[in-house]
Amino acid sequence: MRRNRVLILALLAALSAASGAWARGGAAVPHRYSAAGLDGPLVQLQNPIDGRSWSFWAYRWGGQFDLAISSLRGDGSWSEPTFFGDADSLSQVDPAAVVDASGTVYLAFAVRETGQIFLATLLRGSDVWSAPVSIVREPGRHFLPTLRIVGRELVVAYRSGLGVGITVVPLAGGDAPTGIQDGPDTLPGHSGDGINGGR
Amino acid sequence: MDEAHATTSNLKGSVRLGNYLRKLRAGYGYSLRRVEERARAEGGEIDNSQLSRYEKGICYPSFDKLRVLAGVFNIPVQAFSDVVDLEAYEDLKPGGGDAATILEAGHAAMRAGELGKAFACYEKALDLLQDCEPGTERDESLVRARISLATALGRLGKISLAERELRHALRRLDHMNPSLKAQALLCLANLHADQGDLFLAELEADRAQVYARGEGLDLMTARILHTLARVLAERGQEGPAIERYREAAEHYEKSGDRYEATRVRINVGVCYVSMRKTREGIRLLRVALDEARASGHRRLEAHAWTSLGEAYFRLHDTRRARTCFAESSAIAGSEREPQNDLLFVNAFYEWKMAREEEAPTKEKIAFGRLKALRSGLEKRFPEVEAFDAYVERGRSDA
Repeated sequence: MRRNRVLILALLAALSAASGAWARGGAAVPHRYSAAGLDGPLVQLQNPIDGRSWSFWAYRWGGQFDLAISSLRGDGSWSEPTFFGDADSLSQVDPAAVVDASGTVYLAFAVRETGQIFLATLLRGSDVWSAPVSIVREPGRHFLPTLRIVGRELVVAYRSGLGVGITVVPLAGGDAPTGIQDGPDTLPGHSGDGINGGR
Repeated sequence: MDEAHATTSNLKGSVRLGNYLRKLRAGYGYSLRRVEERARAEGGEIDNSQLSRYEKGICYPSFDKLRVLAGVFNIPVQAFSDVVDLEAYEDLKPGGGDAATILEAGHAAMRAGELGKAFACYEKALDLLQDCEPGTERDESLVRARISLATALGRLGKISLAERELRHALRRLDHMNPSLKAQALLCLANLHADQGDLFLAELEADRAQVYARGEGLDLMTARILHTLARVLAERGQEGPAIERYREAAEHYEKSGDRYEATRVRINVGVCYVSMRKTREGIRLLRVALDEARASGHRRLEAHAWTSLGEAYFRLHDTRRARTCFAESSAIAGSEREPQNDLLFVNAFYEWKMAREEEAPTKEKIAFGRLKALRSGLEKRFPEVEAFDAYVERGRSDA
């Protein structure tokens, strides 16, 4: 009996060590993600433009959730997560992510207490997420956003008290050219001097 | 001339608008009574004595009457308001001098960014040349003056009026030398590009290239490449546009035109920002800004600030973006020669930032400013398209 107990303990210790090693390198889920019902479901995305992989989830912290973001490093391990809403007494939940043709990543999530939907973007080549902005103006509580890119716009659908709502946001920076392109001043010069434009 | 000024000071209308109406009527070969008939056909009522009073600058036509007259003469109503705006530059007209000297003064004013003064000089030179004996030399000078006047009007945002001047120039172009033909076509190409007619602009620039072929002039080549690059950039083909811009810049440098070379560098910076190579865009725009400051040209400096503002906006650096837009607006918002296109872009991004920050008061102020600026803007560019689309969507939602 006693021998059996020792064997079970040794087996458990071996399993625990193996799972720790799996989480640190080449893991399918990021470090600090708890799939045991404490954290929200994991949302994963691979950016086909720069090849980077991302994981987003609602990370349980005391009585609230923060939105955790982790990316896959070159050595196959996941980065230590960064958070939106760290220690703000609000719960950031329901992450949804999509990537556009230029490689910009869009991350939407809901804030449980206020019923707002926020959107943050990460431009291609950048490591800094934009500050999240609230994108739904209709009154009421909204949750469970989903994202889809249609043409040059990002369509955000979400659940609200009465059903489903949709809001449309232009893509970050837009794919269309912006700004003014000035043409030349076409001033002819004196007669006989060709076209020196009087300069 | 002084007597005319003394008379105009007692009038409640606009002498410039009156002269413009008279020229339009003469261009069509209409009598006052014929205009009355045509107005009736357009569904309006303008009797010939009323029209005569407008032409003499005794009183202003109402908006409804202007709308009818615009229909009779087949021009946009905006052209009338542009004509009245130009009265602000009346006192900048040079008092004396010959046409060639005044044209040169106009070119110098253009280089300094004093667009109102440049316009006044070109108009005065045109008046003087029209009074000269006809001949090949006078006709060529007249075409040069008209092209210059159209360029200044285009920069002042009076695109319909600029196009009208060019049409006059083009009528006489058959007998002109190829380089002058190329200049006129290139000016027209840029006016069409300003209005978003890129296909026409490209055709005209290509045609200008045909006329310029064999002339072997760096400046002409540079201007053609500059225009073609601009068309590509506005179509969203920034990569090929940058290649052409770089070629244009080389030719400008060879011909000693640092001013246009700086303008090209700003355009290249804008291309990089559009391609999301924002850091490189900012680097180029900063170089161009320093050059524009050193040359003291207000348009280029304001343009560089606006473009930098857009770049920082894309990087979500709203503090820096706001500083850049404020710098630009301070330069572009001169009371006499406001650069309405740049002011519009600045207000557009202020509006976007206010929306993102959920600042309703700031949003309302910026939107009001956009509406006010939009009404006088003939030029088309992406921010105008986006604003118009937003207003249209609001209307259809309502």
